[in-house]
Amino acid sequence: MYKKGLIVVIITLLLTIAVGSYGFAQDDELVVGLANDALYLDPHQQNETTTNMLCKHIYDSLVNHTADMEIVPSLAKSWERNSDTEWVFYLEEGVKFHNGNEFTASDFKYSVDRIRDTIIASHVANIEEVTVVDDYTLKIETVKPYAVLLRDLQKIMIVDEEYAEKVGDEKLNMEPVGTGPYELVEWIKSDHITMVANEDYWDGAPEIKKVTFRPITNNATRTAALLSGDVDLINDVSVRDAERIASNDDLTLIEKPSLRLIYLHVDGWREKSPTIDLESNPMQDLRVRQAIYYGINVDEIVEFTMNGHAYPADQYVPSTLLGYVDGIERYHHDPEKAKELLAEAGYPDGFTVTLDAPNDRYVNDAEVAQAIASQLSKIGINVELNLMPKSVFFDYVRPGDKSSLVMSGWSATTGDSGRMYEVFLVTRDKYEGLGGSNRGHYTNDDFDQAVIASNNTASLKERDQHLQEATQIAFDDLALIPLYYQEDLMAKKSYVEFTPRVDNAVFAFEMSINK
Amino acid sequence: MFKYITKRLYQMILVLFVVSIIVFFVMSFTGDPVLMMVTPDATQAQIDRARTELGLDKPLITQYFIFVKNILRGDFGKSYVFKQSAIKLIIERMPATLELVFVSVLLSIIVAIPLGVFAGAFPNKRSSKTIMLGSLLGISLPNFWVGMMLIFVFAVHFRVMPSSGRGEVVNFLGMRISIFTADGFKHIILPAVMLSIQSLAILLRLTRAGMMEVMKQDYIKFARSKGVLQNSLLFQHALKNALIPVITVFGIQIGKIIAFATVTETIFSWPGMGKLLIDSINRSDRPVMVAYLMIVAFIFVLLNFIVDIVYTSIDPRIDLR
Amino acid sequence: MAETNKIGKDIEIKKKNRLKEFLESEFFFNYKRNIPAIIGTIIIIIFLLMATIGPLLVTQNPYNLSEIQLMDAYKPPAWVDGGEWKFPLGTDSQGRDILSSVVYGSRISLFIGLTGMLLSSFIGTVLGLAAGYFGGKIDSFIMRIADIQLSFPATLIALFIMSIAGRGIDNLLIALTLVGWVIYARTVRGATLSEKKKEYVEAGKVIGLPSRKIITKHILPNVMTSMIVIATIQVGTFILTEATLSFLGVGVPVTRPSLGLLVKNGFDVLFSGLWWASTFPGLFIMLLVFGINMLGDFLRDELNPRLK
Repeated sequence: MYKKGLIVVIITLLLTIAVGSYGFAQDDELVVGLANDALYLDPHQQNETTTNMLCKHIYDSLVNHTADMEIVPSLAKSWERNSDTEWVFYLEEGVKFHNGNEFTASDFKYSVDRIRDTIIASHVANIEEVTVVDDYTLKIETVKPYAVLLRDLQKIMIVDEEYAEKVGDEKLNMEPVGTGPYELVEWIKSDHITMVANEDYWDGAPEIKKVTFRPITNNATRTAALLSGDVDLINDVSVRDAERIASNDDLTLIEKPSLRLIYLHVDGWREKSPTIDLESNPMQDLRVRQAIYYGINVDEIVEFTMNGHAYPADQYVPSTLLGYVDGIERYHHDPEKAKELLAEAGYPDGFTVTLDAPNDRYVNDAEVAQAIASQLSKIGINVELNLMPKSVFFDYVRPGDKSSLVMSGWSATTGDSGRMYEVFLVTRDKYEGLGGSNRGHYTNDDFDQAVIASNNTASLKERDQHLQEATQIAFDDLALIPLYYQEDLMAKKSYVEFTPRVDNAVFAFEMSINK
Repeated sequence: MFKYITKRLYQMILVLFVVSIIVFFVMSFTGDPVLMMVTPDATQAQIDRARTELGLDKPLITQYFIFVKNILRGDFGKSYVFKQSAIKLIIERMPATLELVFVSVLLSIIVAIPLGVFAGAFPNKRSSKTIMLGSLLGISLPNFWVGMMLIFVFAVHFRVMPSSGRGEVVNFLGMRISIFTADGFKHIILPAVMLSIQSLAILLRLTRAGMMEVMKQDYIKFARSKGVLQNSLLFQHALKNALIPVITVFGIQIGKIIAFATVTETIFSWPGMGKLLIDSINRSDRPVMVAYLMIVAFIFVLLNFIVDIVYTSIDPRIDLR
Repeated sequence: MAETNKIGKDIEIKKKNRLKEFLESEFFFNYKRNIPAIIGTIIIIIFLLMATIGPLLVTQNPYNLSEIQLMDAYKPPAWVDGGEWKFPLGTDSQGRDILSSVVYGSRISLFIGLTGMLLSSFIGTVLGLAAGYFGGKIDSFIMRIADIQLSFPATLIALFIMSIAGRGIDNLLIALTLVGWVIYARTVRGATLSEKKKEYVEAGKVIGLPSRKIITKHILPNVMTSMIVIATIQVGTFILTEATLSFLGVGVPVTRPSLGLLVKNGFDVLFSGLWWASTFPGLFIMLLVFGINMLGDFLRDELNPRLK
C-alpha cells in the first residue's frame, strides 16, 4: 500500500519539476546577477559601488558620466561659470518624480543639505553654498577654486524634498522615489531587486522594461547562474571562469582594464618597523624598496594568478587620468639585481617581514599575496603572511602602527590621482583631513606641497601638472610599489547589447535585448 | 504538570538571559564596525560621527543596559549596514529558511522512515545492511561539498535545475513562500536535498533502532504468530510505538537543521536568515548577529521545551522531578 | 634477583594472556566478521600513515613558498590531457601539488580532530567527575552550563566563536573543546553518580580511601568503554565541523589549508572546469570520516548497546 503511495508522490514531484520550467523570458526583460546587494536605496546613506549603481536607476543627478567618464548634462541642461568659485546651472523643466511631484531647484538644495549630515558628507565638502535662484536655476559656490566640481555633482543623487520629509529615512530607503529611468517594484534583501521602466522618463523611456537584480555573492555560484541560464548578465566574473565563458557561443565575455590599482604600501619612513626584528628598519633604504620591487614578478602574477586578466601597472593611475606621467618605467622582474641591491644596502641575507593583505576584498587577493611571498623568498626576503577578511583588514591597517608591508587597492573613480595621494601619501597628522590612511608613514614635503597645490587651482591643466609632479616624487621614492590594474570582467548572454563602461557599472537603461 | 511547565518556562527565561549576556559582551570583541562603514579616506571627525551614530561611544555596561531595555521592547537595534531594525531583517528572511527546513525535514521523513522500518524489521538482510552503510556514509559526507557537486552536476552540467536563488514567490498568509510556484519548487529541490542528507541518515538510524526495540516486544511476536499481514504489522503496530523516541530526538535535530541551513544558504545564495548571518559576520554587523543568535536561541529553547513536554506526556514512565 | 625475574615473567605471561584473551574474545570474533569495521580500520591506518610519514613521500612541501612555482598553476591530474606525473592529482592556483596538499591537509584535519577530542575528553571528564563526585552547587552549575550549551547546535557555537576569535588552529581547538566537552561530562557524571551509590564506594569513603583512588580505580574504568565510543565518533564529527568552518572562511589560516579549506579554494574554480582542485580534497574528507564512522559504529554496537 505504502509503496503505491510513494510512487504517486515521486511521480507528482517529477511532473511538477518537468512542468515547472521557466516560461519564456520576454524580449524586454533582463535578469542581472550581481556580486553584491545594494545596502540602501536611499542614495545618501553610503558611498558604496553597488548601492550607487542601483540608485542611479532610480535617481538622477545634475550631470552624468558617459561610458567613457565624460561629463554630460542630465537634470542640468546647461551651466556656466561666473568666477573661479561660482557656478550657475539651468535645469530641465517639467521633470516629474515617480510620485508625480515636479522636480525643482530646491530639491537639489535639499539633497545637498541632507548629505551634509551623513557619512558621505565628503561629496559636498567643497560646496560652500547652494542658492535657489528660481525653480529652474541654481547657483553653487565652492569653498575654494575647485576644478572638479562636476565630478562631485555627478555623485549627488536628487531626492524629492516633499516625499523625503513626509515619509522619513526608513521608508525612503525601502520605497525610494526619484526622477530616474526606473521605478522600484520590490526589494527582497539578498534575493532580488525588481524595477520597471519609468514610461514617462524625461529623457525617453528605457528599452528594457523590467529588470531584476539578483545578488549572488559567491563567484562560482554566480558563474553557474549564467551558465545554467538563470540570469542574462553577471558582473565581477572570476578570472578562472573567463575562458569557459568565452568559449561558449551563447555567451560574451567583456574584458577591460579597470581603474583599480593593486599596490604595496611600504613602511619605509620609520626608524623601526613593527614586524621586522632588526635594530633599524631596512626599508628606510631606497635600495631595499627597489629590491622588493625588482623581486616581484608582476608579469607572472598577471599571467598565472590572475589568469591573464590584469594589467601590469607602471605608476599609480592609468594613462587616461590626471596625474599620469609619460615616461615612467616600471621595474621589470630581476632577482639578480634585487639581490645585489639588498647586498649593497647591507642585507645580503635578506630579512623577515610580515605582509598584511585582505583575503576577500580584491580579485584573488590571498593568492596574489602568497605569490608575492613566494617570489620574495627567492631573493632572500622571508615574507610571513597575515591574511585577513576585509572586516578585520581595514581596521587593522588603518593606523599603520602594526604593519610593515600592506597589500591593498585603490580605485581612482574621481578621474585623477589626487584623492589617492591625499589619503595614502600626504604626511600623517600634518594637514587637516589628509594622510589619514598613510600606512607607510611616507613623508616628503615637496610631495605634500604638490598635492595641496593641485587642490587650490581652478584649472584642470594646472591640477594635472601638480599631480604629475607628485607622481614623479612618489615613484622616485617608491612610496608605493604599483603592481597591476585589475581587469573588469563581465559576462552576458550574447543577445544583451550595451556599451561597456569605464566605471564598470551595469545600467539597464543603457541596454537592449536583441534576440 | 503545571508546576513542571512553569519551572521549565522559568528555566527558558534564565537561559535566554544568560545567552544575551554572553552574546552581547563576546560580540563587542568583533571587528570595529565603524571602520567598515566609512571609506578609507574618511577623516577622524567622520569616524567619530559614525561611532556616535551607532551608540558605540558609550561605555560597554551602558550599552548592555540599553541593549536589554530595547530587547524587552522587542527592539534588537538597527543593523549597522542597513540602518534598519535587525529583528525585522531577520524576520523578513525567516520564511525562506523555515521553508527550506520544512522541505528538508519532509524529504528526510519520506525517505528515512520506510527505509528505517525496513532495516529495523529485517536487520539481517543484506539490503538492510546496505541501507545502514549508506546512512553511515550520509553522516560522513561534508555537506557543503555535496552542495557544490549538486550544482556542478545538475545545474551546470546537465542544466536541469536552477543553480541558486529562490525563484518565484507568492504571498501566503502574509509570508513569502516559494514552494507553491513551479519555479520556486524547482529552486528548492537541490538545497533541500543537500540539507536533508545528514538528518535523513540520522532519522533513518533512529527509526531502525526504535523498530528493533519494538520488534523484540511480545505483542509484536504475538501478532506475527497470529498471522497479521506484514505491512500492516510494521506500519500500524510497530512503527507507532517505535516513533515515540524518534519524534523527540528528531525535534532537537530540527534545531540543527536550522543551523546547518547557514551553509546551504551560502552555497545556493538562498536568501534566508543563515545567509544573512554569514554576510553579517563578514561585515561585522553586530546587531544582526546578536539578533540572529537571540532568535535562534529562542527557537532552540522552545523546541527543547516542546519536545520535553511531548515526551513526558507520551511516556508516563518519565518522572517530572 | 631471582625473585624480580619471576615477577617480570609473571607480568609477561599476563600480557600474553591478555593478548590471547583479546584474540579469543567475543569482541574480536565479531570484529573479524564485520567487514565495514575492518575497512574503517584500514582507512584510518592509511590516513595515520599519511599524516606521519606521508610528507616524506610526496614531492612537495606545500607550505614552503620557495618550493612552489607559479608557472605550474592549475595543471590537471596526470591522466588528463595536459597533466604531468609530477603532479598526480593536478595542481592548484599557486602551483601546489594537490596530492601533497591533500597529504598535508589530512595531517592538519586529523591533528585538529584528534587534539580537539583529547582536550574535550580531558576537560569533559574532569568536569563530569567534579559534578558527579561533589554534587551540590558545583554539580548544578556545571550541568546548567552543559544544558544551555546542548540547546545549541555545536556548529553554530563554533561558528560564532571563530567569527569573533578569528582564523587559527589554536582558536579552532578552543572552539571545538568548548562545544565538545559536554557529552563527556554528562557520561562521566552519570557513571559517577551510579557508582557513588554502590556500597564499596561508600565503604571506601568510610575507611578513608582518597577520592583520587576511588575515581581512578572504580569510576573511570566503568566509563572507559562509553568514552572510547564517543571519542571515536567525535573525531569524525570534529573533522567535519572544522571542514565546514574552514569552508565558511572562519577555520584554519589560508597558509595552512586543511582538507576543508582546500575544498573551498577549489569551489571558486569548480565551474570553470578545474574540477580536481575541490573534488579530491572532498573525497578525502568523506573517506576519512566514513572510515572513522564505520569503526565507531561497530564499537558502539559492541561496547555500548545503550548508546545506539
